[in-house]
Amino acid sequence: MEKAALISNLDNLSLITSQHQRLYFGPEFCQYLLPSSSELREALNFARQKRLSFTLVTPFVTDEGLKNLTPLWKVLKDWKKPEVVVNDWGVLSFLRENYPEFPLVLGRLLSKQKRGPRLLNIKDRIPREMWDHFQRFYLDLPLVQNFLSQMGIRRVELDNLLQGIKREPKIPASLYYPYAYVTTTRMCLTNACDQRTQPLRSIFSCRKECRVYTFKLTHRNMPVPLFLKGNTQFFKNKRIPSHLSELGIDRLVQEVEYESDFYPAQ
Amino acid sequence: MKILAPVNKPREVESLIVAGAQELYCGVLSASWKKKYTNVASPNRREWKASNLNDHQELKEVVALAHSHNVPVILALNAFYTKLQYPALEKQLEEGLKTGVDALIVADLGLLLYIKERGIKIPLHISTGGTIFNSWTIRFYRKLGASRIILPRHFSVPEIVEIVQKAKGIEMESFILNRGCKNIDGFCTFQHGVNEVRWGPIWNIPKSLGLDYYLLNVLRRLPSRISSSISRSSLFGSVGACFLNYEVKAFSSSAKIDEEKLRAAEKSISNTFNLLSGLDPCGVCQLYEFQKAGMHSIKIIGRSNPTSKKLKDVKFLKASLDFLSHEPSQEDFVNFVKEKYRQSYHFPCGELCYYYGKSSLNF
Repeated sequence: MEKAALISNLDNLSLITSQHQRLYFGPEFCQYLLPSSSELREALNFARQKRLSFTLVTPFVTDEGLKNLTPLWKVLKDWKKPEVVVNDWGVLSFLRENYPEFPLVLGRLLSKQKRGPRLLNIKDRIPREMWDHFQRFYLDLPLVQNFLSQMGIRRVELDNLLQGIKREPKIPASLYYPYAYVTTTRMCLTNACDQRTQPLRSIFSCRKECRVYTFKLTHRNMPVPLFLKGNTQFFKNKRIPSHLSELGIDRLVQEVEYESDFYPAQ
Repeated sequence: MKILAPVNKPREVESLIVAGAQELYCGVLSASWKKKYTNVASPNRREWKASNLNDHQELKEVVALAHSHNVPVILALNAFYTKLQYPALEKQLEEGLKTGVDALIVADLGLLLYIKERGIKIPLHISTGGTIFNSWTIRFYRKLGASRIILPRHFSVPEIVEIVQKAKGIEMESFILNRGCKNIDGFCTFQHGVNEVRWGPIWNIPKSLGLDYYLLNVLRRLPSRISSSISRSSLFGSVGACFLNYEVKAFSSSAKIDEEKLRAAEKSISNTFNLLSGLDPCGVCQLYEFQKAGMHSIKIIGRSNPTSKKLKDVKFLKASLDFLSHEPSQEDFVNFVKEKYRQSYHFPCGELCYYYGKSSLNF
């Protein structure tokens, strides 16, 4: 079982330990957090020094975000086997056409697992087959598997669902822990949160308040607390399934940065 | 630009068309589907019975009525499905096609590939659930047979204008009224409709009667102090996950953040989670720029809204587009829209906008 550490901020390189064999670097949810070329080089150099394999993580992007990714591809292509996590069909399409040599990983925004924790509230009220449905996702379809394989996808990224996971393990998978994302937005709630003078809902210019604030959200109808980090809400599930190999999971991705940020909230 | 209106019962079809709707869209949540998969795994992203037609017979009636006025009907099959659902999904697709619908709204990659593999010839509209944020994603879906792209809510006006201008040979559609979700539809994995399962058919009653719409309408007219207090009432504590009145606790690892800032941040986040965040936004002022950019269709959200509300929405859009056809200045158009809004809904828009920002188009 390969163990990776996920960070998006170079300040958190210190969270990588000798347990980790791979560095995941980059933001999954926000294009404003994309690293610069020099930051990417620094992360790559760190990985080289520590003999870590390297994965660049990319978010969903607008056309502006696609432009901002361009210099990163140029840095990355000099690296041996530079794996890229894609969370945007456009990025996947672009890389397939322009950098077919990159091994690609389907990010958790595109794996379409059913994550909402309130499913636990209705577990006893739905047919058994439904529960099975909520544990699965569209990647079990051979049509989809073949298509993704043609598009250069070699692996898929999964969250550790509260209701458990079932899948047909044709494509190798990674499991993120201990946090699962539930939802994300471009109308970032954290933006200007300590000095709200703008409309509540809009796409703001970013001042990276997400690197300063974390929020814990609790409600009697939400079975588990939610954690709001920047534009994304997560829940925690530290119970890793015992049958990882049956699920085709051969990599664990530890969200060391979130663990560090969310620590005071727990 | 075409006005695309929602339908959830055959009897509202003619009135919507007479009011100005040029395209209609709907979904079907049949008893057989619901029995097997419950409403939570609805085949079309609207998990409430009240948002849907009850069966394909009703869809057939909708299609026949609409076609008698030369108005196309678009069927939503835009959930994310699992392999288990395919037998039932194939049936839904087959029965939907038999009714003569003119296009499908699709979000799921598997269903797109299935339709392509089976050689089914029908225009495919990529749902907002397809998360199309850039031109390369449009290209991705075009290769899979898409004829129309439905943009996500989470775009600024300049971004919409740019992506619509760049998109050649494919229709572009944007939401224009109602249901401004704070999360990105295709990336949000909260389930709707959980309460319908939890509380049973009684939960359907307020939605079927359009009470949620009327409640928000009342809240909107109250002074903000009072509406804010009502919207936090525990009475509404079991609605959608994005409206829950969470207890919010802020944390910071930075020594520069004092208690005062933490409390301000908590209050700010807390303010975004309550019933008021469900107030219906409006993007009609932006039609001026959308039209110049080449937008094909503008969609009214709210399949479960009462017919009276749908009619108001269609008439408001029709009047705005009629005024736009006389080539007014942008300022005159915005003034017209704001006044028309007040006349149509009997309260000012309050600048609760669907989209923000101004494009750099040189008009």
